[in-house]
Amino acid sequence: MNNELSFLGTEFLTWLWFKVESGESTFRLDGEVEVGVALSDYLSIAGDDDSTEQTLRKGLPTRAPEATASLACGKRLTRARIIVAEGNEEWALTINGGQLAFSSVRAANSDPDETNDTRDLSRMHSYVRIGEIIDEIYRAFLTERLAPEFSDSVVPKMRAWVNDRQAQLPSTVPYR
Amino acid sequence: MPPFRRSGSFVRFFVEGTAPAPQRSQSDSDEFVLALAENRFTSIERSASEAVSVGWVSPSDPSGGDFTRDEIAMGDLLRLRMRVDRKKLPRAWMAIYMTAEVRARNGHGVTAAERADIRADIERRLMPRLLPTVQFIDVIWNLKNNTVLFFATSDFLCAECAKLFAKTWSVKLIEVNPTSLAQRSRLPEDMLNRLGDIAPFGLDPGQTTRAQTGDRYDVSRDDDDVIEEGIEEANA
Repeated sequence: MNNELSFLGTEFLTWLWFKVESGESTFRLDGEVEVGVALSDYLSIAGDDDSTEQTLRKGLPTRAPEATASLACGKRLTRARIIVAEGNEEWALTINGGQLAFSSVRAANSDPDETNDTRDLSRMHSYVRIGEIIDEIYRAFLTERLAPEFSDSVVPKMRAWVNDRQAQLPSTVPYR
Repeated sequence: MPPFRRSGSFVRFFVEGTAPAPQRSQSDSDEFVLALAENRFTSIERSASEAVSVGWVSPSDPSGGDFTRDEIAMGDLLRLRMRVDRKKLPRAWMAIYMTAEVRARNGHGVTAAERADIRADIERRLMPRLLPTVQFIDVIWNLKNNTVLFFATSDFLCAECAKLFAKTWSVKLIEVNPTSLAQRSRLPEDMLNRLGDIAPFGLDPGQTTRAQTGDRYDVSRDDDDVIEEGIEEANA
């Protein structure tokens, strides 16, 4: 399948990271439903084509100096484990930016009182719903990304975010 | 019926084309169910050669080809199950039998052609004894927006899924990815028209992206060309 705009997927994840750290981690979908997003304990960061990929796991990978260094080199988020919450429902999933494929999707906990049929149906609806939510957030990203002023308004803010992260890094200590 | 999975990995597809929806009442003329039955899984358990078999099974029965509307249609969602069996002689077993055969001939005079014959003979003897590997893949077809969730991510299985949908209902599956999703994102037309003009942006401080300069992204130019042009401009 033709996917010549695959870079939009990694840009989307990087933009999501920027949004979360800028305090804009809540999205109002369809103008009504509020959805919260957080980055979890797995990030993979890479540049274009064959550049080295860096994978960070456990702890707080979004705060790792290695993550900042990779962003400052112009790399983007290629895979990330995220947590999405809508009302009482919550999902954890890993998104592959290049393909927008979902892996290790954990559906929201079902009601213990449900019968087998209603449990299956609610699980199926849950998978469908997380797909719809990610699609809507991607649409919100595209709305910003395809606006004529994107390069002059959003990109400088994202660069400032990377600069701020760099400024907060502890100064290097010479190796003895 | 086994419970639907609590977690998993999946790829999504847009469905192009119209398939007959399952009828509201159970009926012998339910085209949707008949098409499933026509493309039901067929066993390769007794196959004497390497083979792959792909087909539909009932969600409640791993080998069953009896499809009922009640266990498939759940409101706007259809619950389907694809079965993929693969029969392939493990290389280690082939090596063991091949070594024994060659040794039995004192290792002399075994030409490439003879080795091929021996290989075919070993396959003929071992394949009927070999059980195929079995995979069940859950599929959710959302009739509301005509998309499919396919609970596997390998290229081979995704391609087999697309083939099976085409064979069963003459519909085409288009994989959801950043490009196909952007093209179907219901954004205003002037925005969608800009999709062809955008280029990746970089976040390294001081970088001026082609996107920022408003240049149309030209995939035939590599970064070296762009850098050289920048140097020339600076020198000028």
